Amino acid sequence: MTLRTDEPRDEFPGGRPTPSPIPRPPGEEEELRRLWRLPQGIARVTAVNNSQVGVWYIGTALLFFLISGVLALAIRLQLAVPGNDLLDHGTYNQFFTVHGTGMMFLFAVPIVEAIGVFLLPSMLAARDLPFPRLSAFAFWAYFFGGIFFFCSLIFDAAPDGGWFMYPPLTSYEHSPGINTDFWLLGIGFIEISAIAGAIEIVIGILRTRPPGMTLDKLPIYAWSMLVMAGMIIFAFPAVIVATALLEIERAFHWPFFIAERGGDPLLWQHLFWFFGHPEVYIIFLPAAGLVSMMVPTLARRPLVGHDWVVLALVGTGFFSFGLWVHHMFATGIPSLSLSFFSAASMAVAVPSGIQVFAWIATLGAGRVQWTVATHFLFGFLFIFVLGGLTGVMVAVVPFDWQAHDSYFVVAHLHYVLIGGMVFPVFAGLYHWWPTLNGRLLSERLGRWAFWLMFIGFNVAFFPMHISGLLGMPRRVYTYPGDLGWNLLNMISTVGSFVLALGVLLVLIDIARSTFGGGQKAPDNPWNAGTLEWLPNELYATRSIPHVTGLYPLWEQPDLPREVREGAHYLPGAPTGRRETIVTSPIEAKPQYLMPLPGPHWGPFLAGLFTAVHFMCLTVQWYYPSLVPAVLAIAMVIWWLWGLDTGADHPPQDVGGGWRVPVYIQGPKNHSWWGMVVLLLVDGTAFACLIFTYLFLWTVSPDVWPAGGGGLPGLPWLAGGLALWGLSALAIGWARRAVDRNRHGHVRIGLILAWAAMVVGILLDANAQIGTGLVAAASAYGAIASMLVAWQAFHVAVMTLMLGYTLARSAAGLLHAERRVTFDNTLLMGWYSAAQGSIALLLLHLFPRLAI
Amino acid sequence: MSGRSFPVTFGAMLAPFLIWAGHFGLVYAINGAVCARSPEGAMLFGYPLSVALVAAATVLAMAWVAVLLVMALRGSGPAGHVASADPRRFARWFVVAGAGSALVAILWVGLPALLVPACG
Ligand code: HEM
Ligand SMILES: [Cu+2]
Repeated sequence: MTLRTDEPRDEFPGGRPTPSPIPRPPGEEEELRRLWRLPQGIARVTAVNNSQVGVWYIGTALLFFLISGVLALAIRLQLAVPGNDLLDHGTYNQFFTVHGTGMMFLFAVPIVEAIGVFLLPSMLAARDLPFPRLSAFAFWAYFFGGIFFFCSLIFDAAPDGGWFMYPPLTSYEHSPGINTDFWLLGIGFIEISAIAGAIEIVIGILRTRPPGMTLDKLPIYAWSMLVMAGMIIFAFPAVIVATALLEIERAFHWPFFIAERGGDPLLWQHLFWFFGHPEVYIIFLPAAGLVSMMVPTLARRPLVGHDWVVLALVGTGFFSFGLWVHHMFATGIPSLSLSFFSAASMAVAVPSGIQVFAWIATLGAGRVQWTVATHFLFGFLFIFVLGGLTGVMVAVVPFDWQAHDSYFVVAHLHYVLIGGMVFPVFAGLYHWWPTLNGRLLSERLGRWAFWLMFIGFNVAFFPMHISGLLGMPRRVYTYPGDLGWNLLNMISTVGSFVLALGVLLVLIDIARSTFGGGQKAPDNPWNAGTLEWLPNELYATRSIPHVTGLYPLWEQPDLPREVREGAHYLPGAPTGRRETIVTSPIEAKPQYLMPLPGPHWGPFLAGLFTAVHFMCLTVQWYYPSLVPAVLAIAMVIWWLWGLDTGADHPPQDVGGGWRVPVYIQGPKNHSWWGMVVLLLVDGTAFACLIFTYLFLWTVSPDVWPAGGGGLPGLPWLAGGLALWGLSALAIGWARRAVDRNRHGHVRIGLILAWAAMVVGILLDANAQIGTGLVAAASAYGAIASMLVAWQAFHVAVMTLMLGYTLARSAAGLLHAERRVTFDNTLLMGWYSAAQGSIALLLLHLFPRLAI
Repeated sequence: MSGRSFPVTFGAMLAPFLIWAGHFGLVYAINGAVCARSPEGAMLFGYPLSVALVAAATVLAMAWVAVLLVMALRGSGPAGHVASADPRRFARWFVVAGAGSALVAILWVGLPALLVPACG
């Protein structure tokens, strides 16, 4: 595909000096600066580049950390003395729920994604990641959704079922108010924003690397983010499905979790922990990635065992999915299951151990610079190792039975979470702050902050191990004074305030620097070896470097100068717009020049309207909620409309002898990749529904129709399958028509596909209803209806996508050379048809065959 | 050649871990389903049904990973499509190390099947 002027050489250093000739023509840099200028004034919110949105994203995550932290202090104050009445029982429940939820969903995951979208473009020397508008939308949805979530506290309507929201306590019978809905709808939709971020990160890492950065030269932080984003793609759908099921149970009384009608509260635990355990690693791995970047810099030598650390990251990503049941040891599952989940839980300590050894070996082999970041790293190592040890302890089933739901677990989880992610993130803040505003944070304040945080943390949480072993249960708002827990609790409370004081100092330091205080930083203050320390501006680096190793700045000392002078790839903006180079994922060879979208009101407004939509649902304004929903969709369409531009320029020279096209279609296109990743998410969600079906059947086969009685007849199955097949064929036929620019046929094909889908779903629903199926009557009714409803949702999505594609065709924006939109619709259409067929086969055949 | 083979190459690099994941899911499903639904005391090859199935799945999974390991040691496998030397070496190393880890992990997780009662 790629056209070449001459055969480009792979290795520049040593051969020709640099990919682009210098000196560069005048005006090139001004052009870049003009193209990447931030909008000013109120329009600032329309900015979409990740380096700007990333900063807001980090700031918002820190704000939510503060709010959740203040709640923690209130919790600790309440527990400082026995029989305290500072917080009443109900308020206490709301506080610890919002604290845990806020920390996990609104601070920990968002901040690691935020740091990712902020750091990755410069670490990969990309002008930006592939979907800046999607990223901005994800941020705004999170921003408005998070604020709205915390507001529930003000109205005494905050969720109070614990961060894992176990039914039946959270179902309509025991939680009749709207408190739980705040959790389910608020958090459920913020997960969607996390998935959007993950798509951006995966494709950014795989496709927007600088030429020469082959898979083996990918910085370790990028590996950790790749694994993390991959985990989000396969873990988050489970919690989205779980929250959807619980919300539907609450709203319409479909009994997924109600034992009397064939449901099972354990189903929630399976789905929740299938997400919840990987979640811990989703939080920890990026932090470990940051550590693996800082350690070599601070020790001034390459990371020992780099490849092993990569293997450990990937291995942890996989193994952590096998651990969800260790949160369910106390629920009475078969002992064989217990033991291999226990075995897996212990095994996952091995990859973490590999990383810890690699860090220690690197620090030991180098000459360590003692910056604030170094302090936080040592603090992290100490705390995290302790947390890992107690983790192995609770992986032992009999011990877990003793410690379950006691303060021992609270201590363990905070050692892992605060040690494993807060300390590395704070180290990272101090370390990478200069890339944010060109200034250093204060080394002196930073040291104070570190010692306060480190000592405060241990004083606060170490005693909880003991109070837990002495029998203090978690989630109690108070306790009698004669159980020997008084002193320990008082110490914990004092410690937590010392910890908070340390955090406060960091915030003061950040504020000072934000308002222009503090020392100006040199270009590469810690002498790091990776690309984010190249001189850069909003357009990233002046030219995109040719990479030859893991630590390019150490290996090519002239690189910063060369890059600044424009001697590397893409020194200007050849097509006169924002753009970056897309490279092949393994060998990092230039493939095409990707146009990047600029500022737009769409993402901001779509985020706002999406939040308002879910807010309306929460307070049960079902009909009014349609207005913001329609508006949100309209905003998305508005921002998408201008994007699929076709090959509006001839191939361009990007340097190094590479002349690449400016548009590419089919499986190399970044948007095609985005669609495929989205379908992986979608498929995982569908798999969770199938799991739900089978799980409910294993626990309650008695509510299933037996041997074909009570099922729709087989002709319904045949008819349904035929219609899904027809829709798939019609889209395929339209594709052939697009190839030949037969626009009339394209439209007929699309309309036919749509009609087949609509008739198909009506037929399925009719067949099920015709048997007297009542969703609220039994778990079978609930899950069968849910499968049909899920497919109906896809038909609705297809209606939008097909309509959009038709509109593009009508507007003359769709033809053989401009068809990314069409190809995405095709993928989604084929997926929907396949999913519909599988759902039908399951619904019709399983009950007939099952014993 | 570059680019086109990414899913194949990357998938092959991750294959040992994917097999591990498949084995894990399968074992859990077998155990859960057999303990919940099969007739009391069902036997296979003289062992309780669940234990026998888990053991068979474990042996199969390990054999499959072992094949991948041998292939990677011999030099075939995921690196085939890659043109430049460094990523090829990396891919091969990754499969060898990954297969080694997966073998240990599968064995470690499958072992309880021989040591503990299935449905207690
Ligand atoms: C300022 C430092 C913190 C303090 C003093 C603190 C304190 C506490 C306390 C006392 C509890 C137990 C409440 C109870 O069971 O009655 C708790 C629960 C919890 N904390 Fe923290 N915490 C802090 C930071 C964090 C961080 C950084 C995270 C996560 C990243 C976190 C995640 C959680 C979670 C998930 C729970 C469980 C909530 C539940 O049971 O539903 N905490 N915290
Ligand atoms: Cu876990």
